[in-house]
Amino acid sequence: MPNYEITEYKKQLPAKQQKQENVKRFKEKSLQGSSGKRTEKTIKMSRKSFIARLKILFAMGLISGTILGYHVPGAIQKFEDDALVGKLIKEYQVDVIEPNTYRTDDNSGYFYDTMSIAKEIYEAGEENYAEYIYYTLCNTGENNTGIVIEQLYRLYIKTGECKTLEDYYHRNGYENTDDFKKRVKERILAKTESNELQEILGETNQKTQENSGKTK
Amino acid sequence: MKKELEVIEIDEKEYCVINEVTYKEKTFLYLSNIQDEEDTIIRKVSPEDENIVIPLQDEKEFEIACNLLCKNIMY
Repeated sequence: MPNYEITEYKKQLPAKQQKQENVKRFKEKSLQGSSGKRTEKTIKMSRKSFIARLKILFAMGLISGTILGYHVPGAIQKFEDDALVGKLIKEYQVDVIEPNTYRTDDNSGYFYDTMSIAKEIYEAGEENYAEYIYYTLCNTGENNTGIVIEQLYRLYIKTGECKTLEDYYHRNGYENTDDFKKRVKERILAKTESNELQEILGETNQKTQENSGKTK
Repeated sequence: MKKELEVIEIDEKEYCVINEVTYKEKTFLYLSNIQDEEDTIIRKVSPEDENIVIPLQDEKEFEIACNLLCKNIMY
């Protein structure tokens, strides 16, 4: 029976080599080649295409340069990680925070239905509490998250007592907000990576089953 | 919404100017081939003629140009 995990991994190699080739060519062509003349000619380009080109240049620049003491491959990873977690925070805002945000009677401000947010966190299950609290913190700030946590324990969990965000950190072994954010972000990224791996394995297992079905 | 970009011809290929950064009296242009978005290069404006773009001088200048680009996008 063919080993589909290895086959899948090998498929990724040409892409990596291609990337290295592109970077090498980018450098060579920037240092050699012909001069050009600036003209009045212009082109109209869609924003999407412009952003795609800007991203390619940004990635090339990051790989080729040594910006501000960053370890360069780490900087690319950091950029991608920030983008991914930012996307998840935004999704939580749309799914959980916005439906529970209301205008004050005089229309001058807004407030959160912290009890409903606490209920959402409770319903997500204990293994997801830290992640949901992280998204709440990023979207509503420390004061509101403190109220959400108090309600979570008082109304839903009913065991123990967390009256503030600091209580929550202390109970769960986090030093402070920075430590909490850093560690939970790492966990989210690890979980996402694991999910992607599971998907790849799921697909390859499915292919293996399909192929073994064909050979029968 | 569309963006209007300057076009520069190099080696009979048309490149559009995606970004332009000036640093210590040097202006770097970050170019993308109109026909092939994977084809990207950096050029700098010639100190003798501002209408001419020339290849970078050496690896050190290339590194400076790369760092300027990233700094310009990130901050």
